[in-house]
Amino acid sequence: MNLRRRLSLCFLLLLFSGNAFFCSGRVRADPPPMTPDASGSPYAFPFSSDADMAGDFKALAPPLLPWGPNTSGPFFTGTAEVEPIGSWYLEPFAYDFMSPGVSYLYMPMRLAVGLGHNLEIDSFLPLEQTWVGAPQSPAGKSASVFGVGNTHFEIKWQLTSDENVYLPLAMPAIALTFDFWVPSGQYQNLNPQDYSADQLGNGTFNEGVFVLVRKHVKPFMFYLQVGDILENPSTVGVGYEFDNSITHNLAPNFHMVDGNLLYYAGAFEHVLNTEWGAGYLLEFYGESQSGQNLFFGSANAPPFSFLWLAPEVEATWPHNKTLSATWGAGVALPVYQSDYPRTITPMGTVTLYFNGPFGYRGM
Amino acid sequence: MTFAKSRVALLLVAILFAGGCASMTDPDVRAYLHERTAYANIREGHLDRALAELRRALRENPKEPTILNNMAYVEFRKGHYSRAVGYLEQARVLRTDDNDEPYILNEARILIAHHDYQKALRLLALIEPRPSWPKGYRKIMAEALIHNGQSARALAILLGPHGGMTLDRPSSP
Repeated sequence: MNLRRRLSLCFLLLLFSGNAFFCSGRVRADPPPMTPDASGSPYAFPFSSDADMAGDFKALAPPLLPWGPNTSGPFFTGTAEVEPIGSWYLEPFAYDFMSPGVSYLYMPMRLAVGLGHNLEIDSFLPLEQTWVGAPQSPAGKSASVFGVGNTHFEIKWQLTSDENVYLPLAMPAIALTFDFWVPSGQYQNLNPQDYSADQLGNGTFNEGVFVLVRKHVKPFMFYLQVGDILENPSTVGVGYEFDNSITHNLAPNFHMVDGNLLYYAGAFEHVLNTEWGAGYLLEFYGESQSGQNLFFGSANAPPFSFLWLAPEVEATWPHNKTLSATWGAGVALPVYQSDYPRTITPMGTVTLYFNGPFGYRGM
Repeated sequence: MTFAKSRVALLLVAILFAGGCASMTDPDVRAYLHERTAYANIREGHLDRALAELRRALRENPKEPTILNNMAYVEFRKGHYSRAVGYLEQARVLRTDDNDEPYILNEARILIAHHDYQKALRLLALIEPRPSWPKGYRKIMAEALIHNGQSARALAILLGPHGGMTLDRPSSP
């Protein structure tokens, strides 16, 4: 029985005794004060002694210092923390992959929803604008095509949380993601006069598994993402451009087998101003296709690899308990490439976070 | 030329990183790390070590009331009643909004433990007009009132609805 109920009982006893006093013509009055050890209590139950009261005085755990609002974070590296249940965010990206004579504007619209139980589901629906310059020999016209690319779904499962956001050697947040790609972008019946500008997807169903790590060491954050993508075989036509963005298929109804794709990315983030979520990032990102497919043997699509380095900046505005918007911009610069075009990629993103009732970001 | 560019880039990165390291050793962060160690020491019963860590934390961040609260806790456990009250009063001053409530309740607990019911009641009366009462407030207030011979008021606090009800300040002995 809790104290309140006990005291309610006591109150009833007092009322009863008060009525008895009324009947006998006596006036009600407070009983004498209780002694510090609660002995000699006029009530029907024991009160806490003064020493017991002091037992409720507890030391307080130190409060975490505020991190300020969410930050935009890196462009190629995911975060290992899942959204709280009921919270979600919408994140349109824009990457303009520019190589000599080609501009490929890739704009995935990401929707992330926290499911609870350390799970999150993400979907990426990309809009694409491809522009290919006019060839000089034989002379031709430039081509520009807009459409929808391959759709990407992701299930994120957070395994651990950052144990101490101040200490570098404490357990970081670690997550696994399971990714699926659907070839919703056009890759067949390509128009030769568009020089593959009308190819908006690579035509393969893909499955990927990634490990994501994030560690806070105030005011820094470190991100890492490594994964392997299995590309299922597909039949492609003449003019199809392979994943290396250089080689084109010349055979009709070609049964294409891509090699497994190693994806790796990492980032260092320094939050300079927690009030405005302002900071900068240095990110690396690379892919490598080795020429071997885990389930389908040797690949006949050409292997390639590249590594980019991207400086980025970020800021957050506005930021309140239900909504925050983060802004990011950067440029990915080529460090190394093998059978892949030398590509410069200006990038921009805005993320609109909607905080649900069960979680509030910013720690 | 390329070598010179690389050196400039390296220097830039080093400056940015050094800036970050300087932020990492912010007084607030150092205070947090000392406070965290002290909290672990308290939980293990090492009060002297905890007090030493808390003093370091307080030097780094003299405005953090939980440091003062925990110093009060250690001093109280060591039997230094007036020092404990002093630290909690400092902690209360640092919090001007309703976040002072944990420190008011803790100070009241110490005062009651030392049978200073009048002072405890004056302190607890600060919370009474507020729109909501913190957990444990009714119990402490009622205990203080009962010990002060005001059992009818104690029952009103325990059983009455909160909101709009104001009680007279406790009478002086």
